[in-house]
Amino acid sequence: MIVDCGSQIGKYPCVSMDPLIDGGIIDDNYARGIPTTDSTQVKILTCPVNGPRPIQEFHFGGEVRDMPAPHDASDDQWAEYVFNRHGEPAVRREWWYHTPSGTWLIAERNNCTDEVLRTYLFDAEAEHG
Amino acid sequence: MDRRLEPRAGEWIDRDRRVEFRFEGTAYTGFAGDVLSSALWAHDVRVQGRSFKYHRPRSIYSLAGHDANVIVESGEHTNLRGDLLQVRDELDVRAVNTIGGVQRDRLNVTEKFSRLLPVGFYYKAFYTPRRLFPFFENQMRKVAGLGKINVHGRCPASPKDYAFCDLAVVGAGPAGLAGAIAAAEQGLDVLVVDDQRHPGGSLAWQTGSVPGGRQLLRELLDRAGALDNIRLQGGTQAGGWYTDHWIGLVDDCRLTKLRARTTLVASGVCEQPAVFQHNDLPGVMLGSAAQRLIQLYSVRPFDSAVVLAANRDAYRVTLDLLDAGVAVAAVVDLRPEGETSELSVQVAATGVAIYNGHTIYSALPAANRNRVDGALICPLAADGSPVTGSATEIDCDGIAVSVGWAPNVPLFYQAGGRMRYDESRHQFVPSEMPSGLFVAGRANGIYELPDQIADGRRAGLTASAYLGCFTGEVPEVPTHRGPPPSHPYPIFAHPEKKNFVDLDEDLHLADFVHAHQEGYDNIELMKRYSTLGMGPSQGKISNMNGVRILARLNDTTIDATGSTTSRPFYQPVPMGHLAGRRFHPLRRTPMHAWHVQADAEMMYAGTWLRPEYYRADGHARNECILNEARNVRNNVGVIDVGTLGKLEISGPDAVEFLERIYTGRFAKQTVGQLRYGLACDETGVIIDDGIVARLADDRFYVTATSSGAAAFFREMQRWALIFQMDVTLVNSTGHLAAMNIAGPNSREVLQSLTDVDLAGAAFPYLGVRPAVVAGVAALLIRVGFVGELGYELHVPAAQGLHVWTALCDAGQHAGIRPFGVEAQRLLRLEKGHLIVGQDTDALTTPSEADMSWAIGKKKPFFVGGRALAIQNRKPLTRRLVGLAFSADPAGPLPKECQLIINNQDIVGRITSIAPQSTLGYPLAMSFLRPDLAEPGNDVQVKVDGGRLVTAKVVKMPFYDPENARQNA
Repeated sequence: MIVDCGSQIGKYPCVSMDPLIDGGIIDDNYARGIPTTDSTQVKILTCPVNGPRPIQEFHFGGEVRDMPAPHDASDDQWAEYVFNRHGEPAVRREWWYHTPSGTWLIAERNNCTDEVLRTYLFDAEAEHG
Repeated sequence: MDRRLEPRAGEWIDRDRRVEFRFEGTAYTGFAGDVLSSALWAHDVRVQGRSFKYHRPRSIYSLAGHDANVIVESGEHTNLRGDLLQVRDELDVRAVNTIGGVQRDRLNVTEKFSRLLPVGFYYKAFYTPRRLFPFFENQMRKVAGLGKINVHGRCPASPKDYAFCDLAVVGAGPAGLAGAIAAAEQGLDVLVVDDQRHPGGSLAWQTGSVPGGRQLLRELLDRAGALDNIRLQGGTQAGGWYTDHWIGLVDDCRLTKLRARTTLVASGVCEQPAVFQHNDLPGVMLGSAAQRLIQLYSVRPFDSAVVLAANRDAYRVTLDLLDAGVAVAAVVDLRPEGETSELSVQVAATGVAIYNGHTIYSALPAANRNRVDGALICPLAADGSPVTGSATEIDCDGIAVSVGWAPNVPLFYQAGGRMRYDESRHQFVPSEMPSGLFVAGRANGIYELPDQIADGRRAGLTASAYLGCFTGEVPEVPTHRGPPPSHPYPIFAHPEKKNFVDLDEDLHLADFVHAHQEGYDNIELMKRYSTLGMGPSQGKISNMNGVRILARLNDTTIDATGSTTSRPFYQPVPMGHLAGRRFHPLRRTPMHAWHVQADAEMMYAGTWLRPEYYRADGHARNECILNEARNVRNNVGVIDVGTLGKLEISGPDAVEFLERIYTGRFAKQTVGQLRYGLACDETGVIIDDGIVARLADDRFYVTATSSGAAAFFREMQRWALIFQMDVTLVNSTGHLAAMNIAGPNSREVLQSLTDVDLAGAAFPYLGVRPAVVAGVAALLIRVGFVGELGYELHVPAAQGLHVWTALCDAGQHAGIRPFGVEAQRLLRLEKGHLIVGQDTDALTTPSEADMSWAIGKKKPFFVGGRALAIQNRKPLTRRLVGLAFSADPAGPLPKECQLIINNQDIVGRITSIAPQSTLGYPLAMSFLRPDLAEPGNDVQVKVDGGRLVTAKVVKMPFYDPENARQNA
């Protein structure tokens, strides 16, 4: 389970639930701000380039959002775009980044069941609609 | 007394290997293959454990690891289960939690006070007075608890293993084996695990009364053995199911992390006890346990037995007991109509008395209360309640209970499966299947042997079809035929309240009634209040009855009552199996070994290790740092900045891309020149900064902060996609080494190693030059982060150490010394340069950081620009300012993040502080309310202890405001 860190991407570690230990991880390096690999996350995500890979190799990039035209959008519209995220249960289009290969991809994920329906490259998005 | 039977086909013991072991200090013999409980029972050792609360004598109950009656410890290991622990020579164990041994445990005195120990006793009795709780707890710890940890013991190594398969089959019984074979025949790579040491499941211990059963098992094993793509692992618990079929396999010595593509749960059922008075006495056991004793360990369970029956299996138990030479005094069948199959005829033909519509009202304890002496049976009224007036006693030394089953499907639940209560079976059956997980056999509510095998085959083919390896027709799930295998309510009240529902926690029927009266009418609340199923056996043989009791108390259905949540692991697992190394990525620069040799104190900066400062004999840390900084100001210093993000951006759209990513303008930047780059996110918050060097019209080289580089590069890549721009982004951070030589003597030192003219006119401040330094191709960048004349050298990583040592050698006469991160932080603070993430936070905009100058005017777009346009119309709420403290502070100085107070309001916070500086007074950077931020103002900072310290707002930079030194 990964919590969207919104626009502060990369500044704070994503919060993760530890499936092995009820109540989360205690990790001194984590507390000291040293990045750790969360070896207890076991999900598999399919990178369109590299195939199925462990979730630790990926970075969650938040929901895919369409930027309104900067000069036409009202302040409210812009604030809506910048700050609001859709958290309600549904199939969402999300950005994921395969870190070792530097590949951004789009995943269609049911955020209620955590089921990934498909993944594809951003460029291929138009073809898939 | 030796209860061992003659050798029989299929037994799990090896009669050729006799072993000697000790239990409670006494030596016993057994056979290899025996578990502790079977070996002891063979010697007629009936009291093998003591219960948790009342210290009642306990013994074999399931003989399958479904109960926790017999827990023993050796010096080295604790929490060993009697029915899972293999005996071996030198095994020396004793029962946990006794005083004076398991035979006469003096703690049994607690039972005398059982009326004073109602359900929820702990919650009620000890919460007040509070100060006495430590005393109560200490006393309770002495009598409660399960075993002692030997803190001086050896910690056995627990290796971790990894495994992969297409189909993981949990349970090597008829359904599991049939499923494995069906799937393997379709080409799947199959791994079968079973927590028992030998395969066969129910075929192994029920064969005695299943015609052709042993032959069938041999056939299944032969067929499985002939398939190379089936692996079979006994003695292995599939303990937990995690996302995408990641399964934790636990055996005696290791945890195996199995990644399967599909899972077949064929882990069968747990036999469920009946609840009657003294149903926990040694000698009362599940029918399946008696069968396991006979069939697997060749031990005669009793001399004379009463069988409590409510299904067909009880009659198989009866026949097995008779076959093992046990006199069966009676079969007591809860069902008014009794058993209607051929089996009842077979049993009746042996002359065994069958009491239909009767129950055992109480097991009768022997005088020493350590064993069964008889059974008190009585007829059942139409409503199922015992008619105690017509009770009769039957002599026996054992009671076998076979009244029902419950699916043993922890992995199914953990994967998100749901069950429904099926009235035709009186038990739960799967209703909602998780994706890629299948259930077969008894776990699926399929009880008769040919059906179990057909169902296993069906599941194996379903898994194959799921993986696209089978396109044929998958058979239907066989339908359940015949009477229910489980009794709907095998629970009988007794006024003396020793009719146990949960043996782990000594919970009897009345505890549930009382908990319900107190309002705990939900299964999850009931569980937590009564501790039902919270013992070591995790409710495997208690939850089902608990649900039945609560449903009746609530006068509702089993479905409406529901069940508690199943969590990993299925059985208790030694902590060592779960403990292990965590892997932390760690990066070292090419000059790392040099730093270590130079006695650097290394620190983490993101994933990097960097020199914090270099230790010098006789000097404290802060002195070392200050001396390093002074040397930069007065002579020349060199710092390893290889941790900086080093990114190359090229292509036709490179300029336009940079203009969008950074706040500044780059279109008119000339080749050979560098500019400051400030990057914001879409909310206008500063996320990174660095230099942007133009190497060619369409080629730029930029640096990013050490800890932010990976994220910043990632965002650059995403924006390039979103903008659909023709740019090439290369992250050269690891390919290149970088160092910064700074100080008044830096030009002289560097000039001695390169032909490039470093004179100020030829190579001014903010210039970029390709060069050869010490024979190595380098990019020279003239920067001023620390406020002195200085050059950054970017060279291939492989040559980094060479160039570094060349600089150090060349600079020896000029007083060159390396400096660490702390000295650099001090120097840049003196120069008023902020560090992103240190002097900015998750909300800091360029205006707040006094960086509006870095924002290009009239830019059509940059990331964060639209948000900043909105922000800039609002009044500024804080500004980053410099603070100067008295050169001779009387008390403690503030620390980072301490607050600036004005009229009891928080008006700011320190972001960086240097208690000592090369300027001779302490200085700091801080956020401050704009109306207080005029240079010359005094502000009060609250320090440790609550004292207020005065500081003066000063215009930054503190050092060299004319930039004469960096521009030299």
